[in-house]
Amino acid sequence: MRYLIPHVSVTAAVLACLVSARADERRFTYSYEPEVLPEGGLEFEQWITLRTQRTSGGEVKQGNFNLWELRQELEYGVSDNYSVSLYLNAAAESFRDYTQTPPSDRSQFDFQGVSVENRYMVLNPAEHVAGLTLYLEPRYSGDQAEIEEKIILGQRYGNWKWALNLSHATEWIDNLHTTEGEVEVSLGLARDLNQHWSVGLELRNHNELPDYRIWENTALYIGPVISYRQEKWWTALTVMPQVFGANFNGNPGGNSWLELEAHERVNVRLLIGISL
Amino acid sequence: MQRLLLASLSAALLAAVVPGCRSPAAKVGASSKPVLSPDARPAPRVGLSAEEIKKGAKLSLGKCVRCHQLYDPATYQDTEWRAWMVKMSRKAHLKPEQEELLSRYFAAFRP
Repeated sequence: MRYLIPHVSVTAAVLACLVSARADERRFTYSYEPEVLPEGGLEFEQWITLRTQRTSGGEVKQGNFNLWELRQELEYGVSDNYSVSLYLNAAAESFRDYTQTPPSDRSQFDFQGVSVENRYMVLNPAEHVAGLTLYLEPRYSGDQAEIEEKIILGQRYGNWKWALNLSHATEWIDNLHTTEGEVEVSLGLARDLNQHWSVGLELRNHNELPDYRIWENTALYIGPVISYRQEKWWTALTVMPQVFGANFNGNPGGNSWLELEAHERVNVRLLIGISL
Repeated sequence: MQRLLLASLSAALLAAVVPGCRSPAAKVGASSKPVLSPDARPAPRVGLSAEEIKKGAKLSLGKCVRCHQLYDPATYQDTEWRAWMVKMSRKAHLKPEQEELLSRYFAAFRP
C-alpha cells in the first residue's frame, strides 16, 4: 500500500491543478468506444485497477491477494480519426504466501514500462451502421515487452450505447525468453440517464495461451458500470466479479467454477479523464 | 458474492430501463431535449448555400454527432443555443472557420 501513496498523490495534485481543463468521456472501463479524441485534443487519464482475491487453497495458496495496477495516460488527437497515447505503467502486488510455513506476507512494486497506444477510427459511428476503430499498443519495460491489438466496434441508439472489443496480445516475459498469448472479448452496454450520468453493464472474457501451445484458462467477468461526465472531466467505474472460470491445465485454484490461478474473484477499475 | 452480483446487475438494469419507460412518445435525448435524425439537413436559405449545407452536414457528423445525438436547435432559446455552441466548439476543438460554418448551419434549423 505504501507504494501507492506517491501515485495517488500525483493524481490528486493533477486533479487539483486542472479544474479548468476539459475532457472527452468513456462510458466503460474495459471496453473502448470507437470515437477518438478530436484533432488537437489533449487529455490526461488516470487508471486505477484493483484485482482482488484469489485463493489460499489449491496450488495457488495466495491469501488476501491484491494487485493494484496504476496507469497514467497522456492522449493526443492527431486528427479527427487518429489518436496516440503515452502510458506509464506500474503495479503493486501483495498476498499471504501459504506455501511457506509459517505463511509469510509478500508485497512487490513493479514499474512495468511505457506503452504507446494508437487508435485509428476507420468508420465513424455517426455515418455507418457501427463505428470501427483499430488499436495497436506496444509496451516495453526492459525485461518484458507486449504488443496488444484490438478491433473496436460500437454504436449509439438514442440514449443507449454499446461497444464490443476483440483483443489479442502477445507478451514476452522472463527477460523476453517466454511468450504468452492473451485473447479477450469485452462488451459494454450503457444508457445515458441525463447529460452527466450513464449506467450499464460490462462483460469481459479473458483467456491465456502460454507459448500459444495450449489454451490454459478462461475467466468471465460481468458487472455494473457507472460513469459521470462534466464539460472538463469525466470518470467511470466498474465492479466486475468473476462469474465463471476454468483452468484446462488441472485445477490449481481448487475451485470448480472459478479460475483463481491467474484471475481474481473481483476486478474493480476506476478511470478519471481530464482534458488539458 | 452471487447475491451481491445479482443485486448490482438488477440495480444497473433498473436504473437504465426505468427512465426509458417514463420517456414520452416523442423522440427525446438524454437531456430531455428533442433530437433530430443524424442525416437531417436544413433547407437552403439566404446566407447558406447548398455547398455549405453539404460541408456543414459533414462537419456535424464528424465533430458533433459522432459523440452525441443531434439535438434540435429549434427547441432552444437563442441565448441558450449560443452558449451551447461556444461550449461544444471548445470541446470539439473546432477551428474558427469550422465554428463559424457550423453556427450558420445549425442556425438554419431554427425558425
